[in-house]
Amino acid sequence: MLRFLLLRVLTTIPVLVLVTFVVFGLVLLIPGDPAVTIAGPDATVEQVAAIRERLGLDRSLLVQYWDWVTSAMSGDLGTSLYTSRAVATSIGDALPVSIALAGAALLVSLVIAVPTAIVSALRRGTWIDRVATLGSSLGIALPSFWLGLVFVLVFSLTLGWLPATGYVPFATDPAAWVTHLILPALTLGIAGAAESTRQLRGSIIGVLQQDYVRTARAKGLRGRMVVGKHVMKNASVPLVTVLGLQITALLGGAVLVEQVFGVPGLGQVAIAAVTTRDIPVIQGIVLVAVLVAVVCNLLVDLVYGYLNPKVRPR
Amino acid sequence: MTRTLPLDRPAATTTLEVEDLVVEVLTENGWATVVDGVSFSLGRGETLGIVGESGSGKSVTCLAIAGLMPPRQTRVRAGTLRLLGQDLTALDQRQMADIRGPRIAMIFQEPMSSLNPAFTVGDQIAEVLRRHEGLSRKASKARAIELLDRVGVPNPARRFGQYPFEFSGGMRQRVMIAIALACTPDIIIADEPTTALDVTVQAQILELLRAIQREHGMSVIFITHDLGVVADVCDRVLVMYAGQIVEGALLDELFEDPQHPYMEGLLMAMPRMDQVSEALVSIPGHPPQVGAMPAGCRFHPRCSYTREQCTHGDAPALEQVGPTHTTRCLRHPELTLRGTT
Repeated sequence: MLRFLLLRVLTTIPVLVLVTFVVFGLVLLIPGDPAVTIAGPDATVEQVAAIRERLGLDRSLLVQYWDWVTSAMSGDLGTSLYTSRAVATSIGDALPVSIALAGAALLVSLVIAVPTAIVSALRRGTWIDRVATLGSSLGIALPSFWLGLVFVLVFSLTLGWLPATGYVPFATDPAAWVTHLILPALTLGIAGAAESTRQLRGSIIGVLQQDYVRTARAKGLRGRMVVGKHVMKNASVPLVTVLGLQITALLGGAVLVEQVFGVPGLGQVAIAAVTTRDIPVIQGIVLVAVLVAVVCNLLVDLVYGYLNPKVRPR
Repeated sequence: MTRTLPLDRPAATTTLEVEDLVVEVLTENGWATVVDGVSFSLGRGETLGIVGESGSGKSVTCLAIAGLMPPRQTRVRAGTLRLLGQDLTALDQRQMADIRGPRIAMIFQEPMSSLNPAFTVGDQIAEVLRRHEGLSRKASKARAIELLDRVGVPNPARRFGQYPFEFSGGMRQRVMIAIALACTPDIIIADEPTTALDVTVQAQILELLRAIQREHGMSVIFITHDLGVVADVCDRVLVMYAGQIVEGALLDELFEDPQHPYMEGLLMAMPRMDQVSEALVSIPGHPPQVGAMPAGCRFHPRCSYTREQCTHGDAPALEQVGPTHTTRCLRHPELTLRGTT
């Protein structure tokens, strides 16, 4: 298993190298010169040139790339062109918030999807199944920012149960941390829940027709054991694929939800950076996002190995 | 093996009594009867063969007895369904689940797909023991290794922790037998257990089943379409056609003196070593579709002895033609059918 892990980590290195090229190169494609933006509309050509030199923008691209990569590897992602804060610090502040939000959204998604899919698949064709299918269609179709506004209107403004906006770090007040996360997580998790429900329902229906499920029944196992053990372990494989995709999408999708609920996550930092062409921050965020995606893929592969012994290395 | 078990035996030695079993399945055109009034009894230690083509209702009969037909798409009715005196028709789903394993166990046709690919074979044996005998993880593992050893899986302690895909077809079927054997059931229902296997492996599996049955005095229902296998293992045979039993007899009676044209057809279609020159005769036509049963005798469209009386009215009744021999043919008194020796 350890060898598999090591091998799997090693194979991500070329991916990462490629990604650093793309991340670094993408910025070149963005129209506009950051030195011009920083210097302001009234700056002289000399002033702009001075800024370019200070930022190292006048050096060759390869040198700039190498400089950036080696610093990034030592944890130095540069300094924001505007706030003069270290990029690593900004990301370090925002990342835990985003991870908490994405994690909570994933939890919401699973808590809704797994029971719904199981009941739906076992009662296929009944009204429960039809309601669940309709619900998941709605969940996929409804835009998250609209859903977020409706939740705020109902649960905060009308019922007054939950705070409408803001974020409290866990270390400050765990209870407030939870209450502040509920609405954004619900908003963010519902689309994923709908997608997972569909996927899981389909795969459970497929697995229920397998001969080994009949064997499990023929052994006299209770229904809970047949479904919870024999069906679910096999039916979870497509779900894990979907979840792996969702986790990365959750970080991206969080941008809107973070705006609606005023959550200071990576999305907020990203928006600010993009609107000001704050290149080091953009690069840092994309790099972190890619790292998260790579780690998620690694986790998905490990879970595949647990669920399907055939893909395990031996 | 004794070949002289009478059809009607005292209750003390009867393991299973089935009377007037009817199974209906939901099709696009409503409920269709796939098993129609099947009745038989199974003696302790007896091996009863059920033969017939695919779709004749032989597997459905056994799944229904074990309570394994899906509840919403199927309806099962039975006049009597009694296992060692216990009325199975009175049991609900949960109570039937308690019966499966310790009382009735099953072995299926496809050893490749009948084991769960995601769990070790050892766990799949041990979980039966944990479920029904309340054994601990450790105790169930020890018993499962013993069982693997008993069914002839070499190196059982190591094989315990392996997954089904690491086993050959024959070895998987041995694992299925170990699962069935785990709680020493009163009845093992083997649904074409050797059909998917190589001929040499078939013989080994049949020998294993026979040995296990001798050891524990279990009753076995052996479903197959292979008359060679029937001749090898069964004491008594029921022949099913289109959801009904059309003939029932002790093994030798059935082969030497068939009383139903369908059975004669099956015997004629069986390849034989001692009659090399004779061409094989197949039964013309196809069995009727579910929900489209012919009037009169259900076999009449394919039967070479059909007369006008066979083609209308209800299906003929199952008639006693000897102390241990029944047939569902109107013309049996006048026909002399060919058997084998």
